[in-house]
Amino acid sequence: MYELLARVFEKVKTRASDPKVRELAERYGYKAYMVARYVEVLGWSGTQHLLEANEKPLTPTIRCNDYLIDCGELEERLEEKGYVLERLEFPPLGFRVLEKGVGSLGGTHEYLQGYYYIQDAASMSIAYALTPEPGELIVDMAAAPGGKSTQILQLTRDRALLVAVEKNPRRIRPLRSHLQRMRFSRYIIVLGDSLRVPLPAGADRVLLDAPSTGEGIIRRDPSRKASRSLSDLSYIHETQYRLLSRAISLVKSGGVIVYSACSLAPEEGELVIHRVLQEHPEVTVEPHGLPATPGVTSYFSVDLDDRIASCGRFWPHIHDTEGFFVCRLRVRRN
Amino acid sequence: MGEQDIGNVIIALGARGGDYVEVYAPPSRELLKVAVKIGVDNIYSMGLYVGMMAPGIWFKPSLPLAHKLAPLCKSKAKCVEVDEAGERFFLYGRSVLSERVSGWKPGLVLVLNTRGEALGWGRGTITNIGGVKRRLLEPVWDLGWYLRRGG
Ligand SMILES: C[S@@+](CC[C@H](N)C(=O)[O-])C[C@H]1O[C@@H](n2cnc3c(N)ncnc32)[C@H](O)[C@@H]1O
Repeated sequence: MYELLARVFEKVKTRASDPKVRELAERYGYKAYMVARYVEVLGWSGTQHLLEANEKPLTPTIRCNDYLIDCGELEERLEEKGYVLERLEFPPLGFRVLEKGVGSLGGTHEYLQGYYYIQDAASMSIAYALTPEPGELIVDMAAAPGGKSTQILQLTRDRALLVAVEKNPRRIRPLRSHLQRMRFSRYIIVLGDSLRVPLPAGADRVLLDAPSTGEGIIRRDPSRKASRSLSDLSYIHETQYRLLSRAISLVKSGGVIVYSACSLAPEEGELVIHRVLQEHPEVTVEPHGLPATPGVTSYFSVDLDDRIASCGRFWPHIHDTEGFFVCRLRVRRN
Repeated sequence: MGEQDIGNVIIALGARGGDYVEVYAPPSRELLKVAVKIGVDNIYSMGLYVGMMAPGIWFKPSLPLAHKLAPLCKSKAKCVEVDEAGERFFLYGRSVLSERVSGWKPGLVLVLNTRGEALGWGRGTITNIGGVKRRLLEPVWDLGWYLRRGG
């Protein structure tokens, strides 16, 4: 196990045996180690707010596909069907669905025409941190079901060349379906493991929306409160670190990597970035430009690289979104 | 990366575990070059999905192709337009009576709604219903597929 992680876990275990932590964990149905970590990052009052926010289901949000339709027109068309929508402050093409109309949100004729994608607001912010440009070669290393892949092509008006990799054959079907439904064509979907499958080197940008414990999606899936252990966390950290190392090998000098994870765990965010910064002097952190709170730089008495403050976090109790970690990295080789 | 259209290149990818072939048109030479580097065996889908070929079906045109060709309905393509109720039936994968179809014609047609949006591919048929010959529009591949089968 990564030595820093082992040190952190010792302290997590000690904190998790604190009766106050155990009481809080029991009251909200979490494993104690999870609450112990929230207390470390947010303090007692912040933890209470987070646990309360996680009890409230997310209001559905959609991302308008302005490659195909004017978003005002989409709003009108859905409102004619009885939907009540409200524009999000950020990201610009997002709408909160306050009331549902006729039919399910994933079954309207507008949906079938590819005019929108159902996606959490934090999730639809990540592609903006990547700032994809037309003409670029972009690799999405963990692509299904395609929220961010479709958005990368949307932001470039189907003018980038996207290589979208997914290793799960069941999840690859919706990825293809969404790319086609939203009428993009400048993509290659690769069925394979991003760690091993041949991928083009010299990419302008790489997105790694990493597989995670899903600690950030408790509002959608409350089973995540208790379904993972510290050893799962250690395993997933290792996978994320290895995937990010491959991302570094794929990007050209001067290129950008965005690393994200739908998790609140510093082990899946800041600690992955810290490890990479320690081992890769060619990698630096850049501002991501999103309305997120700063990354954590001190965790259970471990001082992390200061630059990690420029990474970002979306919190359910602050942003009313899923929990997300995001970090924009630049690779410069001599 | 160039923005060249290469139009005339067609790639056929064998479906894993199936006996059909999917036909794609890569939109640029660059995309094709990258695909070669990745290796065709690793590729699941790429570029504009044109349609599929399978035993018993010579060629089934795809949904993305319907959208690509819809602008040609005014001039060259063989298209029909369904009314609102017809649109609902069609997207449920059901046949539509010709009363709801403007410009009904036999054979393979591109199906539009009253806004001119493509809904997929249909086939004009004449069927005997209760002793009466009726003209129908039968779905070949409709957008409702994204919901029913898209994954
Ligand atoms: C967090 S999800 C990605 C969500 C996606 N980016 C979106 O916005 O819709 C992570 C995905 O990565 C896939 N995955 C996990 N490990 C992988 C690997 N080594 N190579 C490729 N894909 C992988 C998982 O199957 C899962 O579909």
